[in-house]
Amino acid sequence: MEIQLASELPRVKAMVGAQGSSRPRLVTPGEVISQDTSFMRGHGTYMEEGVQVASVAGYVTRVNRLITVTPLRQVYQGAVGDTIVGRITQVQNNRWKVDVNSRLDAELRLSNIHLPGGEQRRSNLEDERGMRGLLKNGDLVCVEVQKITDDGLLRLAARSTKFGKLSQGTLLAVSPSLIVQDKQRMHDLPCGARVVFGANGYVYITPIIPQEQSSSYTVNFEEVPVDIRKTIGRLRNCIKLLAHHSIMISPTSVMAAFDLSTEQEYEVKDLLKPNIMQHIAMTTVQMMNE
Amino acid sequence: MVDVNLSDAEKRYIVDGVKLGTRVDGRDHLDYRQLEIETGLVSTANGSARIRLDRTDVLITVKMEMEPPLLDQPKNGQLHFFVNCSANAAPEFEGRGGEDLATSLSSMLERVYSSPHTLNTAKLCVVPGKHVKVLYVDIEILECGGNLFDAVSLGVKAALWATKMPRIYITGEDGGELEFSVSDNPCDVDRLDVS
Repeated sequence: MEIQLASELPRVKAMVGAQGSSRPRLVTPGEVISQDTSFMRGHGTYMEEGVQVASVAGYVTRVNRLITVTPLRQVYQGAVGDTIVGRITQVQNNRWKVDVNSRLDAELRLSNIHLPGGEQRRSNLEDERGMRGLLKNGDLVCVEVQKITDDGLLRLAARSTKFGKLSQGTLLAVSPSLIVQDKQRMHDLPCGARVVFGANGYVYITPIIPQEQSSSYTVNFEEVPVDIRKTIGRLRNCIKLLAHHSIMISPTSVMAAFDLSTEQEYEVKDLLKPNIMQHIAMTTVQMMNE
Repeated sequence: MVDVNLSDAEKRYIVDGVKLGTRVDGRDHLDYRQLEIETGLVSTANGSARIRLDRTDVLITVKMEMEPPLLDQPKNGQLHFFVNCSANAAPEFEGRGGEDLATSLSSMLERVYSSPHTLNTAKLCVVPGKHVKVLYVDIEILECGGNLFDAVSLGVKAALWATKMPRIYITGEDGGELEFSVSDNPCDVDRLDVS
């Protein structure tokens, strides 16, 4: 067990970007943005006694006459077309309830998944009985947001083979605001692992399986060897330290941190120590800014 | 403990990892997570400690009272442990949910501290047979993130180490009853030997 004095722990240092002149304006809820009433009020603002006030903590963006405040951290709201990772919480008659790191559990209907057996077919009574055989409570799935209802409930779909149940690996939860917008969510990283960066903040790291299975609902229970585990552990710790220092998480930033930690010859478990975490985070930010 | 919802695939990954000697975050079997200990937080108690083991957060306070000793141990002081699993710590602890865990933690501590090798309670004696010091140790589980037994036992040791008991002087005898004066001097304290 390593023992260290609390006073020696690193203070969280501000990692400022290279350009200082175009620093965005940060506001807190209740702060007056502008006295000018001719601006249109966008998301994150409201009018109070003739002045425009921020309702969330974030940065101000101005496009022509529209002022909006984009929050820095927000619970996942959902957007149609997002690829996300969710965990099944309930099995109901013809649908599953999925926890997607949002205010409400999302809904995945039996009619919206790719049924095993290859060809497209309508789901019948037998399929409804066999729902637990496909996905049961606790399973992790990679799905797409199909629709958002009026009260904020997300409807999910897993129509193509790239979606479906996730196999062996480990899940991380980070703030969805830290995940970079990307068309491709599932990346096969050069270090030998596959990472799914769910838009909802759930990041799943899994070993790359050489052949694609025909049905995406059977799990490969083959034992994962130690070297791949070390890669997965290192990736996990890198993502955790980036999230801890509020650095945007993308395949590039994660690989940068990963390569840095291997160059510096840090053990996977060393990446859990605060001073090493801060060192890698700061160096990654510097490298990304170059 | 706290219920964790995991898929079969994740469970298999973890179990195979344990067989191969590595945890999900790269630690070995016996490696601890980031540990933080703080003492002397609660000024109204004789001793206090707060211990943080990643997500686990425990607050311990020690208070000293003077009481007559147990009949079969006239020359020894006593230690009493009370564990409270706060409802903030985990959803299962709401209402009376945390009581089983609390009783198992406090009975573990009683067993450990019943031996004179852990803490010599003979040093807590003031007047043999009449007055001994009793230490009430209150443990509050603020957040449950795993490994409560380790966190609680480390915290209790830290809190006992930090305990400052004001020195008690016997001033005189008044009709068979002894009079005491408790020192007001904050530096005139007795400490416990927790080695």
